[in-house]
Amino acid sequence: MHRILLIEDDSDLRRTLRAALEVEGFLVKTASSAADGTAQLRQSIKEASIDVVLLDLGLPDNDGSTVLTEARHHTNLPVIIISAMHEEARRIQLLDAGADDYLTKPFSIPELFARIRVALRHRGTMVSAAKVKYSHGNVMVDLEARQVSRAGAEIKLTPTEWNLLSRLVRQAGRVITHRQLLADIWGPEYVEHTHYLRLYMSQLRAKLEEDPALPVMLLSDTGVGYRLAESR
Amino acid sequence: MNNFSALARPSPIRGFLPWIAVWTLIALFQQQPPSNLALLLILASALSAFWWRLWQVLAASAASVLAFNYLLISPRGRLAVELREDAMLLFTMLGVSITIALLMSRMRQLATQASENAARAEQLREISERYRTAASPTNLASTLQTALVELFNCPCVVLLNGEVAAASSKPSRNDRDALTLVQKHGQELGPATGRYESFPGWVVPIRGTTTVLGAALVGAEGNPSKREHARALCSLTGSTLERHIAQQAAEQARGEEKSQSLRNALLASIAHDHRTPLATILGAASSITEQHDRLTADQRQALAQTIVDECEQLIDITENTLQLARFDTGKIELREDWQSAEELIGSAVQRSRRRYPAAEIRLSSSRQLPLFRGDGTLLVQLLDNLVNNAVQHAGRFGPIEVGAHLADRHLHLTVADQGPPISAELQKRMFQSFYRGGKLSPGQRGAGLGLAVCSAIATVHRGSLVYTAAQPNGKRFTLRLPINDEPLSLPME
Repeated sequence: MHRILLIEDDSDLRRTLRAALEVEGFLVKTASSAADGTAQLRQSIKEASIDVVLLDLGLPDNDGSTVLTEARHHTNLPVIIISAMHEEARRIQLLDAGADDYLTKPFSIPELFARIRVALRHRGTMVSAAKVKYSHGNVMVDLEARQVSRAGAEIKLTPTEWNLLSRLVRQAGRVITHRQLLADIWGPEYVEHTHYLRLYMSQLRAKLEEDPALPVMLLSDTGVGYRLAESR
Repeated sequence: MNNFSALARPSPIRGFLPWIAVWTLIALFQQQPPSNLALLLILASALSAFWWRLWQVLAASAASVLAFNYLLISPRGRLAVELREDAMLLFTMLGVSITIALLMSRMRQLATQASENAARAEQLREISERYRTAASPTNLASTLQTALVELFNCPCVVLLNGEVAAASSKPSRNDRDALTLVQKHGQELGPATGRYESFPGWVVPIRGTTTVLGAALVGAEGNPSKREHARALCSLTGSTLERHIAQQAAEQARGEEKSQSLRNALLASIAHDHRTPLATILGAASSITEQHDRLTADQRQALAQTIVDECEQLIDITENTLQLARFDTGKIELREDWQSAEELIGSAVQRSRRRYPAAEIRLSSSRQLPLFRGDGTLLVQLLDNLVNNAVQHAGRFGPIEVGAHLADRHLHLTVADQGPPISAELQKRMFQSFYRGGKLSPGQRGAGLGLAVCSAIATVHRGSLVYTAAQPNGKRFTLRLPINDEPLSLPME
């Protein structure tokens, strides 16, 4: 039984989401402001009574960054942010500050469940040692053995391609912002060099996707970053 | 008149010359009849009037006449006059000399006056010219202040709208009070004005056509013609200031009118474009709640799906409306980054296949297209709008094709369908923001809205949105983007 803390100020949306989540078997606690949310979060962390946080960025008393800071300070509890459609800058800012994933209003319930599922599987931003094997369709990745194969045949990747792929695998299903990828793979001085990413993602797709023009595994969240499809 | 002024500059020394010359001549020709010699004296008087002041000429003429009488009129050596003709001669001589002297003096006065007037008119014209291009009231104030200081040769303070706008030095409390009083009442004060005659300065109001806008304080020198000129300067300043104020008010009104008209367009758009999907949603939802038990599971599912579809429509329309309003008011911030055309096209196709599973949507993109600078979110919106329009209005005519290729140094992102072409009339208006009026169905209005946003996005990327009709049927929308020629630094592997 998974437990969700939903921090959302609009009462109709809160009601609808709570209903949908409870149908799927979640235990839902709600808060309607950043202050209320932070207080409940602190309590829940102490009691270890929450598994994932859903945080709306449009709260009346704060843009959500205090809740995120509170969460990251004490724990690596997964936090999914809900933002409005044209707020890329804030969304990316919070993703870089430690949020795990995001949803854009208006979103559908299936999208919500998909994000929650991935977040629960990863349970926070720390690299999980267990995520060493990934597979999607006929592509198999083994992080320990440093091998990737497609339809049984081994694929040779350059070192940078490998770094990029393994970074994505470690957070499979979750978005990683452009900045995070560039910083992790090339270094902090390269966070503006998005063209590197475009180039290398294109190379990876060419080597691993059935149809590189219509990728099903190496996905792009335009304006935010890249995500690897969930393991299947 | 200017030449005359130049010629007739006062010069005591030159004034003597005619007299010296003439008396020399008289001495030489003293045997001539007096009447002839008298004419020479009159000539001297006239000539000396060029360079001497009036009193000097009169004195010299009188002295000459007496000397003439004494020396040349019988009985010589005495001031008495024997013959009546001689008396008449002397009298006439003096009379003509005086007349000529007076005339010359008057001419000189008029010439000076005229050149002064010309200078003042020139100054007014020059200041008026400067005011025409002056940007702010502070400029006006300092120009006026400089002119008044020059005119009266003393410090000056200019007050505009109750605030000291320009001053030679910090004005005293008294000065400020006097200026404020004059601005309030619109009447001059100071010596020779009839109000506060003991005040150590002359204060003149700066008037526009209907109200008093300020006041100027200068020294108490009472020269009427200078004061007249000062009044003219102040009046000019006042009307210029008034014109500025009126222009600002007009601009503000225009700005308000523009935002009002945008507001109206938004309201109209919301009223028209949001009502229909909402009506459909309400219909389907109320059907589910009211007729729940009488509907089959399939019927309920279909109604629920309708609600989902209409909501997605409504989301599109709302987003497009908001974006258009943002573009119209200049509130769009372009967030540029390196983009891959293949990636953008690919994800657009995948999104639209998910949304319209029944439609046939094809991808035809060249490989190895160069990266380009653009705002990913806006480009996604553009592609989605074009594909949504194509699927909704032309989906039943054949497959939709989304593609990207390079041609004449531009990147072309294209969305093509097999539906009917757009009429010429509609083509003219289709990229306009908030095209109002005309007989459009809600679907067409929604499509028009989407196209207007696409057009704005194209413009903000320094590109263009092009419509082409295919033969015999079908159409294509192309986003043409200029390609950056500079080579990208690539990472070392």
